[in-house]
Amino acid sequence: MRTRDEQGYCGLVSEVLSSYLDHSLSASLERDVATHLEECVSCRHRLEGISFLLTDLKKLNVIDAPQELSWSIKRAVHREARKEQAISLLKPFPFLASAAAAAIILVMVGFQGAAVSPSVGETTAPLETLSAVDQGQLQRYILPPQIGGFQGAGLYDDQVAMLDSTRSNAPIRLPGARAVSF
Amino acid sequence: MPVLTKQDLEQAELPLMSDEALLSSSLDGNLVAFDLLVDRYYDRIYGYLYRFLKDSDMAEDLLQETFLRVWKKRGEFRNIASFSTWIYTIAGNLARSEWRRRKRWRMLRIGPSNNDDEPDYDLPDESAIPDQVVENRLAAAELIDEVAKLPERYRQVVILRDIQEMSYEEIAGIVQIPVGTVKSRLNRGRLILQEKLGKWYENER
Repeated sequence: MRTRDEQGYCGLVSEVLSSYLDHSLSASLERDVATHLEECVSCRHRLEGISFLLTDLKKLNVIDAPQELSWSIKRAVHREARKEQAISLLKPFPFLASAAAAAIILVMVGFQGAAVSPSVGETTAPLETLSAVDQGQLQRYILPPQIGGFQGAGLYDDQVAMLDSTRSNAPIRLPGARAVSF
Repeated sequence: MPVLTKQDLEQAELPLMSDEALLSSSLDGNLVAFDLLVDRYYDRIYGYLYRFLKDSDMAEDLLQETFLRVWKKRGEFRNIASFSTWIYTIAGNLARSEWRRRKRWRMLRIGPSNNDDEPDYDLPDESAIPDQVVENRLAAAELIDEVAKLPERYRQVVILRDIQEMSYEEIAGIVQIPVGTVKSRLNRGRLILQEKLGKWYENER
């Protein structure tokens, strides 16, 4: 049975066991710990446990990082380097940078416009899903040229009237027609 | 440090150059020099990030982010510390931010846990099999689990010292704490691990 003093000293020793293993204690403290370890089985067991632990932890150092990782990092860095180079080339000509930015915005807006502008023959939504009764006030139908429609335009009154006369709860089925939501 | 010209670089044997010299060369846009730094460090930094986060996908993402930051900030590097310390500091900061982000996210999702330092995810990561060298795979897995469960401040120093085998001074530079604090955190971290794995080590005696 250990005395209270011995237990207290064990507590102190356990606080420095790790440094003792690393040989980073002062010479006198290291001697004191060594003396205590010779006498104290409990602290010796603790030291052995930490020692085993350190051996195993070192084994974890070997990690096979995926080989392709280095390539993907290099590619990303090279991309970044090209970007930096392009920016540094444009720096002396600030108006060119502005023009380039404007051109990019225009191109993007153009693409967006093209994406939403109607053209005959495309179907943006399945016609079967439309009901003239429910959606008549909100939607117009652009007919394909073969049945008198106009590309990119709404309907003439008589065509609207024709559609009105066919209104029912059943979905309208006009081959090639497309729906435009407003 | 002298600025190297292109002619110098052509003559120099890049692989023999120090990390700091390679970084200096990369300031002039020398990508070959920077590629060499990637080759030298990607494995080690990956190991560090993987052990810290225990998530191979996230480790890969942060590894790439680390090198991109090194590239972007290469002009800010000063030779006060070594390149090694610098890159580990960048990687460590990224890993800690990610860890805290996940912890916050988890707290928002399921409410606060009893132990803030416990990892907020513990899914087995089968995509990385880094521990063939440890004979008993189950035991290695247990050890990895326990390292990942260590509170962040202890985990970082244990990984850097006991797995990556760095000196106290290097760790102090990376974590930006005094050497004495490194020692005390290390001691505490090791004792926690030893207590958790005590039964397992009993069998080895």
